[in-house]
Amino acid sequence: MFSQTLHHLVVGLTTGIATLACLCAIAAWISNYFVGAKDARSHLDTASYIAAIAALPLLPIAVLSGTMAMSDPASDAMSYNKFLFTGLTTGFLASMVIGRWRFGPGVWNDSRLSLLQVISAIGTLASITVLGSIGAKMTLGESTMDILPFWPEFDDSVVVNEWLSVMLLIFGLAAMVAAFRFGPKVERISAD
Amino acid sequence: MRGRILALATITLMLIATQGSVANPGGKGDGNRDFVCGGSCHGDPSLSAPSTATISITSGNTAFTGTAYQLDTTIEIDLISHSRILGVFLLSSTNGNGDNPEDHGWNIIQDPSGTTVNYVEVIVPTNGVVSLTWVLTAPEQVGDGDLIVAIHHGAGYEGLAYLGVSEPHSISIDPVPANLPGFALDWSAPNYRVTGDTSPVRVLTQNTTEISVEWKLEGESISHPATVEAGMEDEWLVHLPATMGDGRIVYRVTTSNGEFDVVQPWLTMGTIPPEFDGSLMGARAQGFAGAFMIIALMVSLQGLLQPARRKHELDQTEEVEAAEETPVEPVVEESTLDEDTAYRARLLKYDEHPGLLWDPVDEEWVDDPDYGGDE
Repeated sequence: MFSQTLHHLVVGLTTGIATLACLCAIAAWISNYFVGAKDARSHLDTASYIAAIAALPLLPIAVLSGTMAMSDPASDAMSYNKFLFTGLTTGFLASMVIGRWRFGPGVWNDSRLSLLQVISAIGTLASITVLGSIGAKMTLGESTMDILPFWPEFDDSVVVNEWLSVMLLIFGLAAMVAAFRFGPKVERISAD
Repeated sequence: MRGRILALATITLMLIATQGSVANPGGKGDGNRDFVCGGSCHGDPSLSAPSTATISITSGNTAFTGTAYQLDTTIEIDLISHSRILGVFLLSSTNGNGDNPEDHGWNIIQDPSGTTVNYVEVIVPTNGVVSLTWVLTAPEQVGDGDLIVAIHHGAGYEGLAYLGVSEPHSISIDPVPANLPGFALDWSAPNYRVTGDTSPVRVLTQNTTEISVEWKLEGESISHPATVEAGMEDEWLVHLPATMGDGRIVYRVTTSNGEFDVVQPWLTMGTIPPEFDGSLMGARAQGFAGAFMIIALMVSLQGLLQPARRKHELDQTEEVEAAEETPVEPVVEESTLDEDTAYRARLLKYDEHPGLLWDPVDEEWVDDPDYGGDE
């Protein structure tokens, strides 16, 4: 019972903070198209960066509390999908934080990098929305996203063999390490 | 006085201990229930009102002991609550207890939801007409039996339960004619099949030499013949098409033995998804793999899309840094002395320029240190 309550609390925090991070990042990108929005962009960038950093450690806590709250986690397509979308959310959110950390607040001054940042933000927001929708389907039997005619069915999932999943994990880890170690060196971009 | 206080305190405690009564406007779910749920609030005349719905039963009035009997009912309803939930009972009496047909010797083989209960809740469609079917086994005792359909529902926001009861449908339960073909007594119809499953449905019969089967999807009006393959004695394999998603197939078996042809009730078979074969470890690994791959992709793109590094013509930072990094050779005092001696040796003295020496290498006059200072 405590796990369920804890899960509700952590999920609320994670969703709220991550949504704030994404919306601020999107707004910071949009501010590029407005003259004289430099100060606003700086504030939005800071808010987005701090919120994203705060949301990152909450994600695994949400997963753990959700796992403890279920009697048989990942035994059906809906809960399996939650794990997959949590992975996507973590990936997009971490990419957003990494981009901001590597290039500094001037990341919004470069058109291509700021677009990459906003793609990460939109990816995070979409994944979080899907996660929340699956959670609502599991607990309430319905979700606000049901009004969309094209909302996908979550009664099905992409399940690969357990060992293949481990192989994919190793491959993903190797790809990430290679991207950091052997990729082009990056420089912070001036915020002026 | 003390007695009054004690009585008041007891009454107050009892009132506090009493939980508020909460009705079930969203329904209570399918189940085995007596009329008005066994004397619940719906039986209270102050909390209920007669329904204006029309309930009709269109089934035969004869059944053979221990054989299948199908009860079809149609309910036409004009006033319904906003949730459109209608609760429908199949009863043998309306006493409030022991009303279930199973208490009167009947056995429910299949209810409208595909399970085996006497109370179901359905959503009333917009045309206000609900058609439901129960398949039962008749009692073993010869005689007369009654089946009654009762309903309850809400309407508007008045908070009243509207009740409706059909006229009792009398059925004459006759002895089974000798050699009557039918289902084997220990056979039960499968309720569900896995999505896409094309394996045949096994039907067990008695006193039967031949069967024919027709099928249709639930809601269709035209039925289709099914292929039947004879198995062992009184065993038949019926090939029905596979169903997908939420599809429900209904089929009807006609058992024959040359003397009798008995058309059995329609049986319903739903569809369930295949067993899920995911595991917690696999889900975690797949989730982490997805996260790492996205990070790898985005980090690579960040490196590729970063602005090109252009060096300003006045920017000598790299050269300065390189120079700073070059190790400085230790100064050897001896060599400095040698250099000083060589420098002094190359200086030329001219009498017409007292106090100055000429440096032919740098082509400049320098002060003569021996002359007396730096004038």
